[in-house]
Order: sequence, then structure tokens, then C-alpha cells
Amino acid sequence: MIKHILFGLILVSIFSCSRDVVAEPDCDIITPQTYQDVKLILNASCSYTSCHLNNGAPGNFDNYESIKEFLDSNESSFRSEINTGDMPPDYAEDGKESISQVAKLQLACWLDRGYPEE
Amino acid sequence: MNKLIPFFLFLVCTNVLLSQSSDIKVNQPPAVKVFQTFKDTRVINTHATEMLPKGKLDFRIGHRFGDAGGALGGWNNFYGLENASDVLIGFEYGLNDNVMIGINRTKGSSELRQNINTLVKIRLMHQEYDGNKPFSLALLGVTSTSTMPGSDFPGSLSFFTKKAHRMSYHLSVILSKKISNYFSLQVNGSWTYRNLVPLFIDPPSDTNDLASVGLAGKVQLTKAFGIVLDYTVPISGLRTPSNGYYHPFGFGLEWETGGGHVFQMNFTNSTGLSETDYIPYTTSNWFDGEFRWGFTISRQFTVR
Repeated sequence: MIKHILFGLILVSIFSCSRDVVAEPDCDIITPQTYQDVKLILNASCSYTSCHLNNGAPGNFDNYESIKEFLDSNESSFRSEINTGDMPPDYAEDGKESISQVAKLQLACWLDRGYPEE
Repeated sequence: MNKLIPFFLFLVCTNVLLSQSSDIKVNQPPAVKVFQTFKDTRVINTHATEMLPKGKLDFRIGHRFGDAGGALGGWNNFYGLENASDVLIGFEYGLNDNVMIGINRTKGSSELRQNINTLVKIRLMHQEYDGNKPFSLALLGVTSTSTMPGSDFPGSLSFFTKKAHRMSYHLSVILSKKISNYFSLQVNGSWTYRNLVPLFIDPPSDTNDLASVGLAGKVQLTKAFGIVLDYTVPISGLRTPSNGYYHPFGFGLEWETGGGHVFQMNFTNSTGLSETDYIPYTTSNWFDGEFRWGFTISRQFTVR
């Protein structure tokens, strides 16, 4: 029985292999890509009292210097939180929007460009 | 073809192990096996060469809290204790004294979440006190499958265009030695394979294959109290601090509380609990306060 279990696992592993890299988002067609553009997204979903504003949560996202400082050390987790939909959280205050797929693409392209201010 | 070679090695070793049982000479006195090179089947993050005995079912809950310090820790979330970086819940079972299997679910700390992980661990050699077998050697195979809903965001790792993109694998050769009652040492060489890897504009994209080496140790300071250490080095030019990656390092304090129960309090910078998570995706830095408290609850039942 042990042999059968091991052979089964090995076969499943072999036949479920692929070798791929995530498809590159086409940032060339995403025109607005400065902080001034993504600020609208951040204001709508992230920057509000008790969250990413006035130190309620890490980073103030309502001004460029602060979010740049945050991203310089937390870009990876920022990407992850947005991609997984963990942010904004379920308990965000009323009126705060989840981030749309288009907005996620805009944020990703802004990050890929090194999050420029203008 | 290259990616199949580790599986064939795994297959060969498995057959060697399974054919051993019929070759044992019954007229020789059994050698005394070394007991508890480590006190659990894991050191902290990495697997040890320790196995579950035949017929033992182990119910495990593993937990990693949030960052104790740094930008995401501090008083706001009580130094990470109000967050969960990762949670593991699962069962493991000893098919015999040298083969164990397991299945668990992890929350996941990278972009791949809601993971179902399976594992097979095979001990090929068990250290003996008389020196005939000077160390213990084990093979570990892990598969990980993300069951999260696929993202419709093309730049995301969870933008699954194939079912296979949900899967990752890990294979590890683990060698350990109990040098004395006070000191145990373990090294491992591992290969982690992810079917889908992140895209980076600069530096170049990640690679599907990722080799790593690990070093672990236990220092038993008193009969009841010991310290364990666990360090993994991914061998990848991409995984450098300048690219935001750090080597997973953890240390733990172990107390034996009587009746065979061991309480371990560990601290590590890695956020994930599965090998396919913490080896490729550790981006937390000890020196920025991005470490966390972790623990494991393990309860064993006899099922024969």
C-alpha cells in the first residue's frame, strides 16, 4: 500500500508540472501612472481616519513623501495585499471601496515604473 | 526532462527503502537507535529527520503571528500578536517507523493562499549509538496546491491560466547527527519548484527552480531546556536584500514540561509555514523588526 501511495503522489506531481512566468501586464496602454493618478484610488480605498492616514495603520497614503517611504521598504507586501484583495479589509469604514481590477492594474504599473510622483 | 530527475531519484530511494525490510537479518541483536536528535518532526521551519512511529496520527496546528516590530508591527497590533501571518492545520501519520505522510492546509503568506499541502517523509538511515550508522538521513517530498479563487488581474501570481499554476513542489535531503546529549546538528539540501513564478521588470523574472541549503541545530542546556536554530539559504542571485528578499532564520526555546510534552516558543523572520512559501517568499528582515512569534500544537493519537 505504501508503494501505491508513493507512486500515486509521484505520478500526480510529474503530470501536473508546468514552467511558466506570470504574464506581463501591458503598462503601455495604462496611461495614467503617476502618484497624482493613483492618489484617487488610494483616497477611495486606503486613506481614511484609523487606516492609512494619520498613523492609524502603517504609512500615510495621502501624501507622496509618506507613501514613497512606506513603499521603499514594503513594496512587496503592498503588492500582495492588493492582489489578494486583503486590503481594504472587511471592517473598513462605510463608503470605502474595494479596489477594482483596473485600479489594481494601474497600481501595478505605477509600482513597476518605480512609483513616480509626476 | 531535467525537472523529472529529482522525482526519479526519489523513486529509486523509495524502492531501496521499501526493499530493506526483507533483508534484515533476524539473528543479529538490534542496534540501539539514537533517540530524539530533535524533539519534533520539525526544527522550526524545516523538517527534521525525526519520524512519527508506526500507527501514530499527529494532529498539528502551527501559527505565525504578525511582525513584532517594523512598519507593520508595534503597539497598533500588540507587536504582531493580533495578526496571523500564517496558520497550518493538518494531520500526519506514521505508515511505519521510517515512512510518514501528511496533509495540511495553510493560510499562506505569499500571493498564493488557501493552500493544501501534502508531504511524504522517508528515513533512509537512522543513526545508531555504536557508530555503524553515524547519522540519520531522510528524504522529504512536499506538494502544495493553492485553492484560492483565481484573480482576474493579469500581473498577479494568482492569475491562473492553467490548473497547474496553482501547484508548487519541494524535495529535500536531510542529514542529521546527534553529536552528544547536548548537541545535534542537521544540514539539508533542497529543491523547490513552482509551476508559476512572479514577473519582475527589474531584476529579471524569477526562476521556477530554486535550490536551497539549510542548517539547523539544537543545544540542550539542561535536561528540560534547550535552544534550537534553523537557517535556510536560497541559492538564487535574485534573493538578495537589495531585491527585498531575506534568508529565513529562526530560533526557538524548548521546554520539556513532563510526560513527553515539549513546549517550543520560536521566533523567525519568515511569514510562511510551508516550504513552498517561506523559502521563495521571505521578504521580512530581522534587523527591521520584521520577526514574529510562532508556535506549534501537536497531539499524537495511536491509530492501528
